[in-house]
Amino acid sequence: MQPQQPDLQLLYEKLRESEEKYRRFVENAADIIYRTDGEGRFIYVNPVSLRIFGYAEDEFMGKHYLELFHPNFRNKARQYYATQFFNGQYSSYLEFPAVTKNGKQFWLGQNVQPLMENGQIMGFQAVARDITERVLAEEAMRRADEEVRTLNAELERRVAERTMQLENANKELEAFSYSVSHDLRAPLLAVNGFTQFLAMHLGDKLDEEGKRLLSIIRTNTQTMQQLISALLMLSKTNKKELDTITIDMNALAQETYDEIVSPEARQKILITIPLLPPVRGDRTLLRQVWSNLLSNAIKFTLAKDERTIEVGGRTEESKSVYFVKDSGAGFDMKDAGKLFGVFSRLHTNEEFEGTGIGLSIVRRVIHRHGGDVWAEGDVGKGATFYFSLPNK
Amino acid sequence: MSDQKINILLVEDNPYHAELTLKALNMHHLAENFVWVKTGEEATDFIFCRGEFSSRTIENAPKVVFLDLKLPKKSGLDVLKEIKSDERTKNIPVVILSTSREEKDIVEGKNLGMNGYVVKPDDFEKFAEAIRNIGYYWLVLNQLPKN
Repeated sequence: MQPQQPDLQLLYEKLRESEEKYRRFVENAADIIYRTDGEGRFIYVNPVSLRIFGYAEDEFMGKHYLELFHPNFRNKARQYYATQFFNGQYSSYLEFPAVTKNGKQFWLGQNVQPLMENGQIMGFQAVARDITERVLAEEAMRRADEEVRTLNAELERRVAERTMQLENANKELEAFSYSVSHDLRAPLLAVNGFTQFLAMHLGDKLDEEGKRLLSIIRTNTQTMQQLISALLMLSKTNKKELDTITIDMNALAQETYDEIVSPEARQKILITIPLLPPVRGDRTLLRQVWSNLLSNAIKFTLAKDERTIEVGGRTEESKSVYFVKDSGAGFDMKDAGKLFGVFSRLHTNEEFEGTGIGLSIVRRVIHRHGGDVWAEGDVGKGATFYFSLPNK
Repeated sequence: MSDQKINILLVEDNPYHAELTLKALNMHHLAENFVWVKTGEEATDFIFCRGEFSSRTIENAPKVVFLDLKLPKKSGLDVLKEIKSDERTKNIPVVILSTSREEKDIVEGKNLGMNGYVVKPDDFEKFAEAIRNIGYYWLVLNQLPKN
Protein backbone atom coordinates (compact mmCIF):
# COMPACT_ATOMS: atom_id res chain seq x y z
CA MET A 1 0.00 0.00 0.00
CA GLN A 2 1.43 3.34 -1.05
CA PRO A 3 1.76 5.92 1.68
CA GLN A 4 -0.60 8.77 1.07
CA GLN A 5 1.06 11.95 -0.24
CA PRO A 6 0.38 14.97 1.94
CA ASP A 7 -1.81 17.49 0.27
CA LEU A 8 0.72 20.36 0.07
CA GLN A 9 -1.88 22.74 -1.16
CA LEU A 10 -4.00 22.01 1.92
CA LEU A 11 -1.03 22.34 4.28
CA TYR A 12 -0.05 25.63 2.68
CA GLU A 13 -3.60 26.84 3.02
CA LYS A 14 -3.71 25.89 6.73
CA LEU A 15 -0.37 27.54 7.37
CA ARG A 16 -1.51 30.72 5.68
CA GLU A 17 -4.71 30.71 7.73
CA SER A 18 -2.76 30.23 10.91
CA GLU A 19 -0.28 32.96 9.99
CA GLU A 20 -3.18 35.26 9.12
CA LYS A 21 -4.85 34.55 12.44
CA TYR A 22 -1.72 35.40 14.45
CA ARG A 23 -0.88 38.45 12.32
CA ARG A 24 -4.37 39.84 12.88
CA PHE A 25 -4.06 39.09 16.54
CA VAL A 26 -0.74 40.96 16.78
CA GLU A 27 -1.66 43.80 14.48
CA ASN A 28 -5.01 44.48 16.15
CA ALA A 29 -3.59 44.26 19.66
CA ALA A 30 -3.96 47.37 21.84
CA ASP A 31 -0.42 46.85 23.21
CA ILE A 32 2.88 47.64 21.52
CA ILE A 33 4.44 44.47 20.14
CA TYR A 34 7.85 44.42 18.48
CA ARG A 35 10.87 42.34 17.67
CA THR A 36 14.53 43.28 17.37
CA ASP A 37 17.58 41.51 16.06
CA GLY A 38 20.36 40.34 18.37
CA GLU A 39 21.81 43.84 18.57
CA GLY A 40 18.49 45.36 19.58
CA ARG A 41 17.49 46.90 16.24
CA PHE A 42 13.83 46.75 15.24
CA ILE A 43 12.88 44.16 12.67
CA TYR A 44 9.14 44.21 13.36
CA VAL A 45 6.73 46.63 15.05
CA ASN A 46 2.93 46.35 15.13
CA PRO A 47 0.68 49.20 13.92
CA VAL A 48 -0.05 50.40 17.50
CA SER A 49 3.69 51.02 17.94
CA LEU A 50 3.71 53.19 14.80
CA ARG A 51 0.69 55.13 15.99
CA ILE A 52 2.01 55.68 19.53
CA PHE A 53 5.60 56.60 18.60
CA GLY A 54 4.66 58.52 15.46
CA TYR A 55 7.28 56.92 13.20
CA ALA A 56 6.56 55.52 9.72
CA GLU A 57 7.36 51.82 9.44
CA ASP A 58 10.52 52.40 7.39
CA GLU A 59 11.75 54.96 9.93
CA PHE A 60 11.22 52.46 12.72
CA MET A 61 13.04 49.56 11.07
CA GLY A 62 16.73 49.49 11.91
CA LYS A 63 16.35 51.95 14.81
CA HIS A 64 17.97 50.83 18.07
CA TYR A 65 15.50 50.03 20.88
CA LEU A 66 17.25 52.48 23.23
CA GLU A 67 16.23 55.37 20.97
CA LEU A 68 12.67 54.93 22.30
CA PHE A 69 13.88 55.61 25.83
CA HIS A 70 14.16 59.07 27.33
CA PRO A 71 17.86 60.08 26.99
CA ASN A 72 18.24 60.33 30.78
CA PHE A 73 17.12 56.74 31.18
CA ARG A 74 19.13 55.06 28.41
CA ASN A 75 22.20 54.15 30.45
CA LYS A 76 20.10 52.71 33.19
CA ALA A 77 18.06 50.66 30.70
CA ARG A 78 21.21 49.35 28.94
CA GLN A 79 22.60 48.17 32.26
CA TYR A 80 19.28 46.63 33.25
CA TYR A 81 18.98 44.52 30.07
CA ALA A 82 22.68 43.59 30.09
CA THR A 83 22.21 42.21 33.60
CA GLN A 84 19.04 40.39 32.57
CA PHE A 85 20.70 38.59 29.68
CA PHE A 86 23.93 37.99 31.52
CA ASN A 87 21.92 36.23 34.24
CA GLY A 88 19.98 34.25 31.66
CA GLN A 89 16.63 35.63 32.79
CA TYR A 90 13.96 34.47 30.36
CA SER A 91 11.65 37.38 30.87
CA SER A 92 11.84 40.85 32.41
CA TYR A 93 9.53 43.72 33.14
CA LEU A 94 10.70 47.33 33.16
CA GLU A 95 8.88 50.63 33.46
CA PHE A 96 10.55 53.61 31.85
CA PRO A 97 9.95 57.06 30.36
CA ALA A 98 9.70 56.82 26.56
CA VAL A 99 9.84 59.55 23.88
CA THR A 100 7.81 59.77 20.65
CA LYS A 101 9.14 61.04 17.35
CA ASN A 102 7.95 64.57 18.08
CA GLY A 103 9.44 64.57 21.60
CA LYS A 104 6.35 63.82 23.66
CA GLN A 105 7.17 61.90 26.81
CA PHE A 106 5.11 59.09 28.27
CA TRP A 107 5.56 56.01 30.44
CA LEU A 108 5.85 52.47 29.12
CA GLY A 109 5.71 49.17 30.99
CA GLN A 110 7.58 46.62 28.90
CA ASN A 111 7.94 42.86 29.04
CA VAL A 112 10.98 41.56 27.09
CA GLN A 113 11.95 38.00 26.19
CA PRO A 114 15.11 36.92 24.37
CA LEU A 115 14.67 34.73 21.26
CA MET A 116 17.14 31.84 21.51
CA GLU A 117 18.40 29.45 18.90
CA ASN A 118 20.98 26.81 19.72
CA GLY A 119 21.90 28.69 22.88
CA GLN A 120 22.48 31.93 20.96
CA ILE A 121 20.44 35.12 21.33
CA MET A 122 18.95 35.74 17.94
CA GLY A 123 16.82 38.73 18.95
CA PHE A 124 14.23 40.02 21.39
CA GLN A 125 10.49 40.27 21.44
CA ALA A 126 8.58 42.65 23.59
CA VAL A 127 5.07 43.58 24.60
CA ALA A 128 4.68 47.07 26.05
CA ARG A 129 1.81 49.23 27.27
CA ASP A 130 1.28 52.93 27.91
CA ILE A 131 1.13 53.21 31.74
CA THR A 132 1.33 57.02 31.91
CA GLU A 133 -2.02 57.34 33.65
CA ARG A 134 -1.11 54.89 36.42
CA VAL A 135 2.39 56.37 36.91
CA LEU A 136 0.96 59.90 37.11
CA ALA A 137 -1.67 58.73 39.61
CA GLU A 138 1.06 57.10 41.67
CA GLU A 139 3.14 60.23 41.39
CA ALA A 140 0.16 62.34 42.53
CA MET A 141 -0.38 59.93 45.42
CA ARG A 142 3.30 60.12 46.35
CA ARG A 143 3.18 63.92 46.21
CA ALA A 144 0.01 63.91 48.32
CA ASP A 145 1.71 61.55 50.78
CA GLU A 146 4.71 63.84 50.87
CA GLU A 147 2.42 66.82 51.35
CA VAL A 148 0.69 65.04 54.24
CA ARG A 149 4.09 64.23 55.72
CA THR A 150 5.19 67.85 55.31
CA LEU A 151 1.93 69.05 56.85
CA ASN A 152 2.33 66.58 59.71
CA ALA A 153 5.88 67.74 60.30
CA GLU A 154 4.68 71.34 60.21
CA LEU A 155 1.86 70.46 62.59
CA GLU A 156 4.26 68.72 64.95
CA ARG A 157 6.57 71.72 64.80
CA ARG A 158 3.69 74.06 65.59
CA VAL A 159 2.47 71.82 68.41
CA ALA A 160 6.00 71.82 69.85
CA GLU A 161 6.14 75.60 69.48
CA ARG A 162 2.74 76.05 71.13
CA THR A 163 3.70 73.61 73.88
CA MET A 164 6.77 75.68 74.53
CA GLN A 165 4.69 78.87 74.57
CA LEU A 166 2.26 77.18 76.93
CA GLU A 167 5.08 76.00 79.16
CA ASN A 168 6.43 79.55 79.23
CA ALA A 169 2.97 80.90 80.01
CA ASN A 170 2.65 78.34 82.81
CA LYS A 171 6.02 79.37 84.19
CA GLU A 172 4.90 83.00 84.09
CA LEU A 173 1.66 82.05 85.82
CA GLU A 174 3.64 80.16 88.42
CA ALA A 175 5.90 83.18 88.96
CA PHE A 176 2.79 85.36 89.13
CA SER A 177 1.07 83.23 91.76
CA TYR A 178 4.31 83.03 93.74
CA SER A 179 4.54 86.79 93.60
CA VAL A 180 0.87 87.15 94.55
CA SER A 181 1.28 84.89 97.52
CA HIS A 182 4.27 86.88 98.78
CA ASP A 183 3.91 90.41 97.60
CA LEU A 184 0.17 90.91 97.95
CA ARG A 185 -0.19 89.07 101.20
CA ALA A 186 2.70 90.89 102.89
CA PRO A 187 1.12 94.40 102.94
CA LEU A 188 -2.27 92.89 103.71
CA LEU A 189 -0.84 91.07 106.70
CA ALA A 190 0.50 94.41 107.95
CA VAL A 191 -2.84 96.22 107.38
CA ASN A 192 -4.76 93.44 109.06
CA GLY A 193 -2.25 93.05 111.87
CA PHE A 194 -2.10 96.73 112.80
CA THR A 195 -5.87 97.14 112.50
CA GLN A 196 -6.39 94.22 114.85
CA PHE A 197 -3.70 95.50 117.18
CA LEU A 198 -5.41 98.88 117.16
CA ALA A 199 -8.77 97.31 117.97
CA MET A 200 -7.29 95.08 120.68
CA HIS A 201 -5.03 97.53 122.47
CA LEU A 202 -6.20 101.01 121.56
CA GLY A 203 -9.88 100.32 120.94
CA ASP A 204 -10.97 102.11 124.12
CA LYS A 205 -9.57 105.37 122.77
CA LEU A 206 -11.89 105.22 119.74
CA ASP A 207 -15.49 106.42 119.73
CA GLU A 208 -18.28 104.38 118.16
CA GLU A 209 -17.76 105.83 114.67
CA GLY A 210 -14.00 105.10 114.90
CA LYS A 211 -14.73 101.50 115.89
CA ARG A 212 -17.21 101.16 113.03
CA LEU A 213 -14.66 102.43 110.49
CA LEU A 214 -12.05 100.08 111.92
CA SER A 215 -14.40 97.16 111.51
CA ILE A 216 -15.02 98.13 107.86
CA ILE A 217 -11.26 98.08 107.25
CA ARG A 218 -11.01 94.65 108.86
CA THR A 219 -13.93 93.17 106.92
CA ASN A 220 -12.47 94.38 103.65
CA THR A 221 -8.95 93.16 104.33
CA GLN A 222 -10.41 89.78 105.21
CA THR A 223 -12.33 89.72 101.92
CA MET A 224 -9.13 90.54 100.09
CA GLN A 225 -7.30 87.77 101.93
CA GLN A 226 -9.98 85.30 100.90
CA LEU A 227 -9.76 86.49 97.29
CA ILE A 228 -5.99 86.07 97.20
CA SER A 229 -6.21 82.62 98.78
CA ALA A 230 -8.93 81.58 96.33
CA LEU A 231 -6.94 82.89 93.35
CA LEU A 232 -3.90 80.96 94.52
CA MET A 233 -6.01 77.85 94.90
CA LEU A 234 -7.35 78.35 91.37
CA SER A 235 -3.83 78.64 89.95
CA LYS A 236 -2.78 75.55 91.92
CA THR A 237 -5.61 73.50 90.44
CA ASN A 238 -4.09 74.24 87.03
CA LYS A 239 -0.51 73.61 88.04
CA LYS A 240 -0.81 70.51 90.18
CA GLU A 241 -0.09 67.21 88.42
CA LEU A 242 -2.99 64.77 88.78
CA ASP A 243 -2.21 62.08 91.31
CA THR A 244 -4.83 59.54 90.25
CA ILE A 245 -6.07 56.91 92.69
CA THR A 246 -9.35 55.11 93.35
CA ILE A 247 -11.43 57.27 95.67
CA ASP A 248 -14.21 56.27 98.04
CA MET A 249 -16.47 59.24 97.24
CA ASN A 250 -18.70 58.56 100.27
CA ALA A 251 -15.80 58.91 102.66
CA LEU A 252 -14.50 61.97 100.83
CA ALA A 253 -17.87 63.77 100.75
CA GLN A 254 -18.62 62.92 104.39
CA GLU A 255 -15.21 63.96 105.75
CA THR A 256 -15.25 67.20 103.74
CA TYR A 257 -18.72 68.00 105.09
CA ASP A 258 -17.65 67.27 108.67
CA GLU A 259 -14.65 69.52 108.23
CA ILE A 260 -16.36 72.57 106.77
CA VAL A 261 -19.59 72.65 108.79
CA SER A 262 -19.53 74.16 112.24
CA PRO A 263 -21.25 72.15 115.01
CA GLU A 264 -23.94 74.87 115.30
CA ALA A 265 -24.70 74.77 111.57
CA ARG A 266 -24.79 70.97 111.68
CA GLN A 267 -27.75 71.14 114.07
CA LYS A 268 -29.72 73.26 111.61
CA ILE A 269 -29.16 71.27 108.40
CA LEU A 270 -30.52 67.92 107.33
CA ILE A 271 -28.04 66.26 105.00
CA THR A 272 -28.30 62.87 103.28
CA ILE A 273 -25.35 61.13 101.67
CA PRO A 274 -26.38 57.74 100.22
CA LEU A 275 -23.98 55.24 98.65
CA LEU A 276 -21.87 57.01 96.00
CA PRO A 277 -19.98 55.21 93.23
CA PRO A 278 -16.19 55.22 93.70
CA VAL A 279 -14.10 56.99 91.08
CA ARG A 280 -10.52 57.35 89.81
CA GLY A 281 -9.12 60.83 90.37
CA ASP A 282 -6.91 63.18 92.37
CA ARG A 283 -8.15 63.11 95.97
CA THR A 284 -6.79 66.53 96.96
CA LEU A 285 -8.39 68.24 93.97
CA LEU A 286 -11.71 66.37 94.23
CA ARG A 287 -11.83 67.32 97.89
CA GLN A 288 -11.82 70.94 96.67
CA VAL A 289 -14.84 70.11 94.50
CA TRP A 290 -16.85 68.68 97.41
CA SER A 291 -15.66 71.46 99.68
CA ASN A 292 -16.81 74.22 97.32
CA LEU A 293 -20.13 72.59 96.40
CA LEU A 294 -21.01 71.70 100.00
CA SER A 295 -19.97 75.16 101.35
CA ASN A 296 -22.15 76.78 98.70
CA ALA A 297 -25.09 74.54 99.56
CA ILE A 298 -24.67 75.31 103.27
CA LYS A 299 -24.25 79.04 102.66
CA PHE A 300 -27.40 79.35 100.55
CA THR A 301 -29.44 76.96 102.72
CA LEU A 302 -28.75 78.44 106.16
CA ALA A 303 -30.77 81.56 105.29
CA LYS A 304 -33.90 79.49 104.61
CA ASP A 305 -36.42 77.88 106.94
CA GLU A 306 -36.28 74.51 105.22
CA ARG A 307 -32.66 73.43 105.29
CA THR A 308 -31.94 70.19 103.47
CA ILE A 309 -28.95 69.14 101.42
CA GLU A 310 -29.05 65.99 99.34
CA VAL A 311 -25.90 64.45 97.94
CA GLY A 312 -26.19 61.73 95.31
CA GLY A 313 -24.42 59.80 92.62
CA ARG A 314 -25.00 57.21 89.91
CA THR A 315 -22.93 55.23 87.45
CA GLU A 316 -23.67 55.64 83.77
CA GLU A 317 -22.11 53.83 80.82
CA SER A 318 -18.81 55.68 80.61
CA LYS A 319 -19.00 58.05 83.57
CA SER A 320 -20.16 58.56 87.12
CA VAL A 321 -22.42 61.53 87.87
CA TYR A 322 -22.61 63.17 91.30
CA PHE A 323 -24.75 66.00 92.57
CA VAL A 324 -25.30 68.30 95.52
CA LYS A 325 -28.90 69.49 95.81
CA ASP A 326 -29.93 72.16 98.27
CA SER A 327 -33.14 73.85 99.36
CA GLY A 328 -31.42 77.24 99.32
CA ALA A 329 -31.77 80.49 97.41
CA GLY A 330 -31.54 78.87 93.97
CA PHE A 331 -30.91 80.82 90.78
CA ASP A 332 -32.58 81.79 87.53
CA MET A 333 -31.73 79.25 84.79
CA LYS A 334 -30.96 82.13 82.41
CA ASP A 335 -27.96 82.88 84.65
CA ALA A 336 -26.72 79.27 84.58
CA GLY A 337 -23.96 80.18 82.13
CA LYS A 338 -22.47 82.72 84.53
CA LEU A 339 -22.17 80.34 87.48
CA PHE A 340 -18.79 78.83 86.73
CA GLY A 341 -16.88 81.93 85.52
CA VAL A 342 -14.06 83.48 87.58
CA PHE A 343 -15.33 86.37 89.77
CA SER A 344 -18.80 85.72 88.47
CA ARG A 345 -21.38 86.17 91.23
CA LEU A 346 -25.17 86.14 91.27
CA HIS A 347 -25.56 87.67 94.73
CA THR A 348 -24.23 90.73 96.50
CA ASN A 349 -21.92 90.31 99.46
CA GLU A 350 -24.70 91.58 101.73
CA GLU A 351 -26.91 88.71 100.60
CA PHE A 352 -24.28 85.98 100.60
CA GLU A 353 -20.55 86.25 101.15
CA GLY A 354 -18.23 84.81 98.55
CA THR A 355 -15.23 85.32 96.31
CA GLY A 356 -16.79 84.25 93.02
CA ILE A 357 -13.97 81.79 92.49
CA GLY A 358 -15.24 78.61 94.18
CA LEU A 359 -17.25 77.26 91.26
CA SER A 360 -14.53 78.09 88.74
CA ILE A 361 -12.19 75.96 90.86
CA VAL A 362 -14.81 73.18 90.67
CA ARG A 363 -15.04 73.50 86.90
CA ARG A 364 -11.26 73.49 86.38
CA VAL A 365 -10.75 70.45 88.58
CA ILE A 366 -13.52 68.51 86.84
CA HIS A 367 -12.34 69.53 83.35
CA ARG A 368 -8.81 68.46 84.22
CA HIS A 369 -10.25 65.04 85.06
CA GLY A 370 -12.02 64.93 81.68
CA GLY A 371 -15.46 65.41 83.22
CA ASP A 372 -18.17 68.04 83.04
CA VAL A 373 -20.12 70.36 85.39
CA TRP A 374 -23.60 71.81 85.12
CA ALA A 375 -26.34 73.16 87.33
CA GLU A 376 -30.11 73.31 87.57
CA GLY A 377 -32.09 75.66 89.73
CA ASP A 378 -35.06 77.92 90.29
CA VAL A 379 -35.16 81.20 92.20
CA GLY A 380 -36.09 80.53 95.83
CA LYS A 381 -36.44 76.78 95.21
CA GLY A 382 -32.91 75.57 95.61
CA ALA A 383 -30.17 74.50 93.22
CA THR A 384 -28.58 71.26 92.10
CA PHE A 385 -24.94 71.18 91.02
CA TYR A 386 -23.82 68.15 89.00
CA PHE A 387 -20.41 66.91 88.01
CA SER A 388 -19.42 63.88 85.98
CA LEU A 389 -16.13 62.00 86.00
CA PRO A 390 -15.11 59.43 83.41
CA ASN A 391 -15.00 55.78 84.52
CA LYS A 392 -11.45 54.64 83.91
CA MET B 1 27.78 95.89 118.27
CA SER B 2 28.96 94.48 121.58
CA ASP B 3 29.05 90.78 122.30
CA GLN B 4 25.86 90.79 124.33
CA LYS B 5 23.72 87.65 124.68
CA ILE B 6 21.06 87.50 121.99
CA ASN B 7 17.91 85.43 122.16
CA ILE B 8 16.22 86.13 118.84
CA LEU B 9 17.70 87.37 115.58
CA LEU B 10 14.87 88.52 113.30
CA VAL B 11 15.77 88.81 109.62
CA GLU B 12 12.94 90.76 108.01
CA ASP B 13 13.01 93.44 105.32
CA ASN B 14 9.41 94.54 105.87
CA PRO B 15 9.50 97.03 108.80
CA TYR B 16 5.79 96.55 109.46
CA HIS B 17 6.15 92.79 109.76
CA ALA B 18 9.16 93.33 112.00
CA GLU B 19 7.11 95.62 114.21
CA LEU B 20 4.19 93.18 114.33
CA THR B 21 6.60 90.38 115.28
CA LEU B 22 8.11 92.54 118.01
CA LYS B 23 4.62 93.49 119.26
CA ALA B 24 3.65 89.83 119.37
CA LEU B 25 6.86 88.93 121.26
CA ASN B 26 6.27 91.83 123.64
CA MET B 27 2.73 90.68 124.35
CA HIS B 28 4.19 87.41 125.61
CA HIS B 29 7.28 88.87 127.29
CA LEU B 30 9.66 87.20 124.85
CA ALA B 31 11.22 90.32 123.34
CA GLU B 32 14.22 90.54 125.60
CA ASN B 33 17.60 90.50 123.80
CA PHE B 34 15.97 90.79 120.42
CA VAL B 35 17.87 91.98 117.34
CA TRP B 36 16.33 92.90 114.03
CA VAL B 37 18.31 93.07 110.76
CA LYS B 38 16.80 93.94 107.39
CA THR B 39 18.98 92.13 104.87
CA GLY B 40 20.53 88.73 104.25
CA GLU B 41 24.01 90.28 104.26
CA GLU B 42 23.43 91.83 107.68
CA ALA B 43 22.13 88.49 108.94
CA THR B 44 25.23 86.54 107.90
CA ASP B 45 27.49 89.37 109.08
CA PHE B 46 25.80 89.05 112.46
CA ILE B 47 26.06 85.25 112.62
CA PHE B 48 29.66 85.12 111.35
CA CYS B 49 30.74 88.28 113.27
CA ARG B 50 31.75 90.36 110.27
CA GLY B 51 31.49 94.06 109.36
CA GLU B 52 29.66 96.08 111.99
CA PHE B 53 29.28 92.90 114.05
CA SER B 54 33.03 92.03 114.09
CA SER B 55 33.24 92.66 117.81
CA ARG B 56 30.90 89.71 118.43
CA THR B 57 32.09 86.11 118.92
CA ILE B 58 30.67 83.30 116.82
CA GLU B 59 30.10 81.10 119.88
CA ASN B 60 27.73 83.70 121.27
CA ALA B 61 25.06 82.72 118.77
CA PRO B 62 21.37 83.71 118.96
CA LYS B 63 19.12 81.08 120.51
CA VAL B 64 16.92 81.18 117.41
CA VAL B 65 16.82 82.95 114.06
CA PHE B 66 13.45 84.05 112.64
CA LEU B 67 14.12 84.25 108.93
CA ASP B 68 11.96 85.80 106.22
CA LEU B 69 12.44 84.18 102.83
CA LYS B 70 11.97 87.00 100.39
CA LEU B 71 14.83 89.33 101.08
CA PRO B 72 16.52 91.63 98.56
CA LYS B 73 19.87 90.41 97.11
CA LYS B 74 20.89 87.63 99.50
CA SER B 75 17.69 85.59 99.95
CA GLY B 76 16.47 83.87 103.08
CA LEU B 77 17.39 80.47 101.62
CA ASP B 78 20.95 81.75 100.92
CA VAL B 79 21.23 82.83 104.56
CA LEU B 80 19.90 79.45 105.73
CA LYS B 81 22.39 77.62 103.50
CA GLU B 82 25.31 79.62 104.84
CA ILE B 83 24.36 79.05 108.48
CA LYS B 84 23.68 75.34 108.03
CA SER B 85 26.77 74.57 106.00
CA ASP B 86 29.22 75.90 108.59
CA GLU B 87 30.22 73.52 111.40
CA ARG B 88 30.36 76.41 113.87
CA THR B 89 26.83 77.64 113.20
CA LYS B 90 24.87 74.65 111.90
CA ASN B 91 23.25 74.02 115.29
CA ILE B 92 21.66 77.47 115.46
CA PRO B 93 17.90 76.89 115.10
CA VAL B 94 16.49 78.69 112.08
CA VAL B 95 12.72 79.07 111.73
CA ILE B 96 11.41 80.41 108.48
CA LEU B 97 8.58 82.92 108.74
CA SER B 98 6.94 83.32 105.38
CA THR B 99 3.85 84.86 103.86
CA SER B 100 3.75 82.01 101.35
CA ARG B 101 3.04 78.33 101.71
CA GLU B 102 4.81 77.53 98.45
CA GLU B 103 5.70 73.85 98.43
CA LYS B 104 9.04 74.48 96.72
CA ASP B 105 10.13 76.89 99.46
CA ILE B 106 9.21 74.39 102.16
CA VAL B 107 11.01 71.54 100.39
CA GLU B 108 14.09 73.63 99.72
CA GLY B 109 14.15 74.94 103.29
CA LYS B 110 13.88 71.39 104.60
CA ASN B 111 16.69 70.19 102.34
CA LEU B 112 18.90 73.00 103.60
CA GLY B 113 18.23 72.02 107.22
CA MET B 114 15.70 74.56 108.48
CA ASN B 115 14.27 73.87 111.94
CA GLY B 116 10.76 75.04 111.20
CA TYR B 117 8.55 76.70 108.61
CA VAL B 118 5.73 78.93 109.77
CA VAL B 119 3.29 80.65 107.42
CA LYS B 120 2.51 84.02 108.94
CA PRO B 121 -1.22 83.83 109.71
CA ASP B 122 -3.33 86.63 108.22
CA ASP B 123 -5.08 87.16 111.54
CA PHE B 124 -3.04 89.12 114.08
CA GLU B 125 -4.24 87.11 117.07
CA LYS B 126 -3.20 83.90 115.37
CA PHE B 127 0.04 85.54 114.28
CA ALA B 128 0.81 86.58 117.86
CA GLU B 129 -0.03 83.07 119.04
CA ALA B 130 2.29 81.51 116.45
CA ILE B 131 5.14 83.86 117.44
CA ARG B 132 4.53 83.04 121.10
CA ASN B 133 4.64 79.30 120.42
CA ILE B 134 7.83 79.28 118.39
CA GLY B 135 9.51 81.80 120.72
CA TYR B 136 8.54 79.78 123.78
CA TYR B 137 9.67 76.51 122.21
CA TRP B 138 13.10 77.67 121.06
CA LEU B 139 13.90 80.05 123.92
CA VAL B 140 12.51 78.11 126.86
CA LEU B 141 11.88 74.46 126.05
CA ASN B 142 14.53 73.55 123.53
CA GLN B 143 17.90 72.23 124.68
CA LEU B 144 20.91 72.63 122.38
CA PRO B 145 24.18 70.67 122.56
CA LYS B 146 26.85 72.51 124.52
CA ASN B 147 29.24 72.64 121.52
